Amino acid sequence: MASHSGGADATSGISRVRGLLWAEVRAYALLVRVAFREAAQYRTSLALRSLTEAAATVLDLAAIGIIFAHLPALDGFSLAEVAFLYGTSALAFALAEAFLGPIDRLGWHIREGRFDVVLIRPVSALVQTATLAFSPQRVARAVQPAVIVLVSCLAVPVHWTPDRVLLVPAMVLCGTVLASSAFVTTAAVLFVAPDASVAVAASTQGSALAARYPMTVYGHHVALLLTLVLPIGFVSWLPALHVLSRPDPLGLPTALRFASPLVAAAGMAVAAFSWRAGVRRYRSTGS
Amino acid sequence: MGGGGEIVIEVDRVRKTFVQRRRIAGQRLRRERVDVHAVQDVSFTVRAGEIIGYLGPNGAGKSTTIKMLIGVLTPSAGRLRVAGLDPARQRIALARQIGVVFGQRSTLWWDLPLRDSFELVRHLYRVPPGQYRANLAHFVDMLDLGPFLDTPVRQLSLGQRMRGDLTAAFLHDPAIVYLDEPTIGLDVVSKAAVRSFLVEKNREQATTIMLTTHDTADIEQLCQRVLVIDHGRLGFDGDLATLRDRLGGERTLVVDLAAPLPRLTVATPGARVVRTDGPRQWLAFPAKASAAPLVAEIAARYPLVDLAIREPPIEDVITRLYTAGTPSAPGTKAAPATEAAAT
Repeated sequence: MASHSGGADATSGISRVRGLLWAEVRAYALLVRVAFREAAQYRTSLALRSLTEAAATVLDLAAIGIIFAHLPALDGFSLAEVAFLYGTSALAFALAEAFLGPIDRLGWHIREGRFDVVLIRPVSALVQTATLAFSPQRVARAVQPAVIVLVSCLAVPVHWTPDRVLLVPAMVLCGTVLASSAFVTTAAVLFVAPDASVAVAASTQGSALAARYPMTVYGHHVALLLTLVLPIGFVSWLPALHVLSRPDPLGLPTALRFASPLVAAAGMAVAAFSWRAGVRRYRSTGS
Repeated sequence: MGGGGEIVIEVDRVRKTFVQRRRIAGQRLRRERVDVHAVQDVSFTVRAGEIIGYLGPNGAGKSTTIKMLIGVLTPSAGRLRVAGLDPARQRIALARQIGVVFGQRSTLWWDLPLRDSFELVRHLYRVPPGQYRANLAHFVDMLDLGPFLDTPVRQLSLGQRMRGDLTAAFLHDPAIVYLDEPTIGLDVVSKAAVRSFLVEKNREQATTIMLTTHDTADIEQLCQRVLVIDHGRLGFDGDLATLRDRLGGERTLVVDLAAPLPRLTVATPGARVVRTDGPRQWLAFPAKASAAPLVAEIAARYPLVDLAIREPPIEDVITRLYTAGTPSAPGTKAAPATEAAAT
């Protein structure tokens, strides 16, 4: 990494950051493998949980099918369009949940004194917390919304131009980053109040649910609040309006439909700041 | 060893204050803010290759200090440097150079065999394969890990687990190792194994070791220097002999008489009977005084059969230190406040 010399300060700075990120990704992959191995120590439990998870996914899909079959339209959006909104946002939250979901147990780790051990290792505390209770089942939960996204993409009456095709994975990616940022930011609260796990879980679950439906079902003012302030609307609602060639019922500028990457980057910055501030305020437990 | 190396730990007027919210008696909702000063203006330096005992009663601030040195806790005020790094800000860079053992909490992976935990440590700390193999073989031999290397950590006994934790903390050849009560709850054999391991690592690689303990044998056998903290303030910094001298304390003369007698009355200054049991009586007298006058007096006046003299146990010295009251000025090394109580 230090092979550059002379005026290559900026380049070496970037390559250093890249090296650090890469190290974190490798540590993440390693610790996830460890979590799998640990879970595999309890084979029966793993098998049973996988089975129930699979059953839940199938039942979920069936339930959604039944609900949508009885619902011709929601606030002017057709069944396929609602399914597209529902699928893309649910997929974003499910992916975020799969990678970072276990950080909601931070409060528990802190109370049990396990977070002290996290902080003695030469790996970022976030990567370690995200993998401490990593469970393969969480990854499986992304299957159901992925199926819905695929099916709804085939069903919506959209002329698939390249920009629309590209926007679908891009919005899922940005949505995942936004949802992850929300998880990290709310989990950082647990450094100050380790007993607030339930409140934190409720707020993230709540936003996951809110993002699934056309924003207009919440009424004009709440919709504006959800879209711009929280910013749940950027997860799938605004980019979906472009994919579906819909006018914005809230009358927001069309540029916002492509602003999700910027909002996601801002979300990441807020998350990184909150997490660091949280770690600094970490109080440990008496020994 | 001890004193020769460069300074590796620098603690300068470090303070840690926790804000607690306490319910006010009789009021349901209102709470008051209380500042709890866990560590107050503590200063000391440690040189490479020292073994330091960090002593103090429960809640004195030992763990808080150690956690600040590791970078787990951020100090409220003051300056900290470990291996030239600011622990809280450069935690990850520092983590590669230090090892940590918590006696009450394993750092190993509960559900994995011991061997896999070590393998994981090798990856996380990026230990070169050759160094890893050599270290592991050596530690397995020294700490007799062979019989339980493939056992999941959750099934290990406390002594086995501690030996595993020690190995994990030393695998990457750290320059500094902190041990928070490493021998707590261990049997005599495991304690001895832990101690000889620490002595060897210190002697062979000049590893700087800082340990908190309540075990007096740990202190006597390992620590060249002791720091004593109480109520968040450093009360003593020096070697064990100096600590003993400073606090004085009392030696005990145990006498066996020909027959049970009422409590002896002796004229030697400072001497008195502290306990009787049939024909045996225990007399305390100042540690600095000679035993000869007291022995001569008893031999002359009473039917003396046998006698023994006992040194003040280090436990008593420590107890005296803890109960000696608050040290005077904040931030002083080897605060003289303890002297007043000793005389």
